[in-house]
Amino acid sequence: MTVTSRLEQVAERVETRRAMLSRLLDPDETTLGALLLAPAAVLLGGVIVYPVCKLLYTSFLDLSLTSGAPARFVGLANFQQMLEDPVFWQATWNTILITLITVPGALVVGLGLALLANLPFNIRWPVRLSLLIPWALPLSFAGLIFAWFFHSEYGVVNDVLNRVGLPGAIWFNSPRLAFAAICLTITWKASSFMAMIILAGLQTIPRSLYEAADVDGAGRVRQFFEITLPLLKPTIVVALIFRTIAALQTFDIPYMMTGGGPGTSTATLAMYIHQNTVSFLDLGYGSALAVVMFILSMCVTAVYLRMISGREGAR
Amino acid sequence: MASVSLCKLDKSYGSYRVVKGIDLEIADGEFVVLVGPSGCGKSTTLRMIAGLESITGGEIRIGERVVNALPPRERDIAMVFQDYALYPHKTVRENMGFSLKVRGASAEEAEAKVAAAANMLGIAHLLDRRPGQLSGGQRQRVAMGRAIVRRPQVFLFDEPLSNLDAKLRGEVRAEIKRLHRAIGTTIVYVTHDQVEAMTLADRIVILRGGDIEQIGTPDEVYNNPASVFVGGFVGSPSMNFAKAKAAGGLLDFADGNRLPLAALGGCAMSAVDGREFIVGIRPEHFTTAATDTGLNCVVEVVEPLGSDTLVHFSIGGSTLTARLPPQARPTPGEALWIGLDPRKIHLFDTSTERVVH
Amino acid sequence: MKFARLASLLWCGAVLASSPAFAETQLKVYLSSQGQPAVWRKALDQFEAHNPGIKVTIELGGATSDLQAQYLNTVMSAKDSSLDVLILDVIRPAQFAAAGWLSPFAGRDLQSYLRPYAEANTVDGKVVALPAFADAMFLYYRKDLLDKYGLPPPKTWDELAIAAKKVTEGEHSQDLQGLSFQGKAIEGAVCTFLLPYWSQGKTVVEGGKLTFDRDAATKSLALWKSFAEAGVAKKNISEVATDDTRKEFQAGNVVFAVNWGYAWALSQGDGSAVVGKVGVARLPAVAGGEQSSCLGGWEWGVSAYSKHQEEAKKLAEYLSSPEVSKFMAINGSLLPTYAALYTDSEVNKAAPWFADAVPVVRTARARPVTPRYNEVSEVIRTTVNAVLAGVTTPADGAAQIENRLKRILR
Repeated sequence: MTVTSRLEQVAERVETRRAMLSRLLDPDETTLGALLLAPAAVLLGGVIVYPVCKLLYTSFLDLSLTSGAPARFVGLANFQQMLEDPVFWQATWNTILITLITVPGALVVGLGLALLANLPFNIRWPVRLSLLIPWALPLSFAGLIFAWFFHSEYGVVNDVLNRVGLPGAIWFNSPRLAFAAICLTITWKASSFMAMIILAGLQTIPRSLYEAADVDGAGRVRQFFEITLPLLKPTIVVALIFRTIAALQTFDIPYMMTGGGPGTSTATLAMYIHQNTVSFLDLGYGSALAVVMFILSMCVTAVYLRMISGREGAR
Repeated sequence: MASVSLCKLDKSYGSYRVVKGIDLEIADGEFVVLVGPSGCGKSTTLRMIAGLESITGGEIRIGERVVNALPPRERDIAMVFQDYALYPHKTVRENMGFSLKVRGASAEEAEAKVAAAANMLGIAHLLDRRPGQLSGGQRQRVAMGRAIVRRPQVFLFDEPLSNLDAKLRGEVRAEIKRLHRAIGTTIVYVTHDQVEAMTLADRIVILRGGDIEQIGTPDEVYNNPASVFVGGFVGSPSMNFAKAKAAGGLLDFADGNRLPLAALGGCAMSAVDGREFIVGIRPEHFTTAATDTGLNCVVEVVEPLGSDTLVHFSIGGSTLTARLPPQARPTPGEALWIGLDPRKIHLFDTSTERVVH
Repeated sequence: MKFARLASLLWCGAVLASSPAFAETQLKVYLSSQGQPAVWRKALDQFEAHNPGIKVTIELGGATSDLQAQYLNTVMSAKDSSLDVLILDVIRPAQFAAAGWLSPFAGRDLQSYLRPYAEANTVDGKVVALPAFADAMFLYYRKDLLDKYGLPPPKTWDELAIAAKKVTEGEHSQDLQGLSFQGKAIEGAVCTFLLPYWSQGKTVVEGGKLTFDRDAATKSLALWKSFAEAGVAKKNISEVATDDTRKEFQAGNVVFAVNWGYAWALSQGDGSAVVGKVGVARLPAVAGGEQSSCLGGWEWGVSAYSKHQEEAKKLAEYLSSPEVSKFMAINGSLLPTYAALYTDSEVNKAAPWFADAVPVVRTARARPVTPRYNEVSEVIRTTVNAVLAGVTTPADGAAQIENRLKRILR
């Protein structure tokens, strides 16, 4: 081999390396795109995709830390157990009921509060402040506070009822009353969140639209239904997605207020998952329950996303 | 169609008086432009006519009715907003038909009126689109269409062209003028652009700090500005001002330049010796032709525009601009004799800044 | 084994010789925040004084047994090595041992302790934890009121109901309740259910097999329900937790109370309205049954994930020793786990009621021993709560317990 040919070889190798390096340092658009997306993809994979896959896998296992036995693949046995589990059905039904009651409830109350806070009067700031406080309060705090409000002996609710001449109730002694108290608390807590999002939405509606409607001859009610509501729709849908998913995951407030009682009559799916995984250490069954909740949340999100994209398509 | 009459109209926000008791009679079918710099109260006045702003004092009549306490919808007016205020979730058809629907018109009637208006404005092909799918000019036209479908007594325009580019503005301006000729409704139009005011108005109302500075036809306000402010506001490039003193039948600019008072016509009567004036001369009234009167100056800047040449020079401490024919090309630094027609000179009082008669 | 220990000793010695500072071992003890940590601290100081080179710090857990268990469940399932010695409710060692979280005490003999504790800490023949202190459920009663109406402490629940009626009616006080017990869905409600159930001679689990008696369960639930309905207990008894019973009794608003040993010291302390007016007795039986109590108490376990097994076991042995048991009996009113200490003169001087307590503790019965105790507990407590709230009938409740226990203990 001659010196020159060897030199050429070396030069060639240097050249390919430089090409590789420059591709890395000065990538074309596709490579650059992939490179820039990579950190986000890795992060999402690590914190979302991996745990969800692991959860799915665990839901097919018989894995109970209390048994000391190693994990065993049992297929759909956990899901089958669920079908026969009355507490699961009760908790799921309670969760759906809480969602169906508190989400529209919080929307209506929140919309009202937001409209009130958006009025051009001086009462605006106390209303806005009172919106912030329930929102800033941790959920478990709210649960604890309302648990005392509804306490049969020391609670303010019974006290007020007695003062106006009505008999008080042992709220947490009756499944219906306890459930009502929980729904009331969740609505109270959630409507401030709704109101804040809706208020932000309201403020993006130009005032001139209302002036144009004034000139066009539409009254306040008509303006609300013809302008405010349609223009708020995207905001409301987003608020509903957040709220519905949070409602499906309801845990803190019933946990603090009734602990699921009396009996298991006010337990929610999230509480039942927590109980099975954290208290009973039955990770297999707990994961299967969590998969059900995951599917419920995904269904709700899909419906809402469809609502949004349907709207944009029409635009 | 109806006349509009403002009587001692007043508006205050707290102690801040925005409109200071203005009087204005607008005849039926007239096109009146309210013009002035921002903060002059022109938009507030228009919004008070519309009923969007409450009235602190005075009276507004539309036709024979005092409308002070009436809400906008009962004033039988229509308004085109600066941002058009089209309902973004409604189609063009629904936008234009909204006021008819609200007022209980039948579907056929509304459809016919919308179609007629759309045809008039050349937007019939856009009826099924939403505002988001339209260009700026198209939106502007839809906003006008929404105003005319109902055939109200008065149209109110609030700076309707300010969101358009210069070329479109010229086109739409012509369109508005054509529209007014076609339907003949009374129009009150607010703008800060004196060109719009001059080209569109039957009469111009020049506002300044909540007061009316002058009311008149475009010719009147151009030829006989009532004040330094009006002189400076109307016309482009704007009127030149320089200080001068009356002395021995001459206007003395204190830098050696003098003009004979006798040549100035009527206004020279109040030129008592020693009185100071603000002298107003429009750039287009300078000439390179041989004249008896003129000014000696040194050329500072020359701006050839193609159609004209603008020459900047200073007289008595003020910088003046002359609009000269395009072939005139003095060089900066050159000493120049620049002629003018003394009858076109305006004299203003130095303290009141009002014109001297 | 011997070689390994020798090697580690040698290694320790080498380290000690080379750098004394490095030799210091940090141990962390997990304690309940309600379990008199200040008194335990004194015992730990003694340990540190006798064992230079070992420092012990305390980590405080939640206020109730349930909260502590939840916390420990997360820590232990994460194989966290930060805790060395854990205090465990008597119901936990079986579960913790099954999960492999406890390090067994090889070759340890528990004969010197009270028998129930020797049993509770032995799982599959291995000693998995050492007793910390004893406890059981007692009947607290207002000696003054019973004397006033000439009533002896009741031997059966029926006698108790009659006595309670007599006193409350005689006192004409709105605030005075006849009986307070735990109706909230907490661990205490499990004992509530078991007391009359056991009294009928029945068991729940024997040798890992379900031995549930539905009739006895129905009777037990019906008994508690009848107290609420007859006005012996208050209407909202389903809201009452252990410490509510203690507070109300201490405030003088209760004639009879079912509670653990801790309530005694507090009822005789500052701020109590019933100082000197309290009697303690064995819990009543159902008519024709035997009197029985629910075994409580706490144990010391050594975490299997502790990095200092030797030292941690040494500490657990120390904390479980007769000396510390005596110290805690005198200074913390905790019931000793050694029979001899109940007759110790110093102990009797500090806590004279211990003499009455020893037969109760000796005969107290342990709650079902199973690794899945948490689930068993959950089923029983929620059903007791549901029956007391009127959601289910006693018969349906008993059937539900049976069905659900069958699934858990398959």
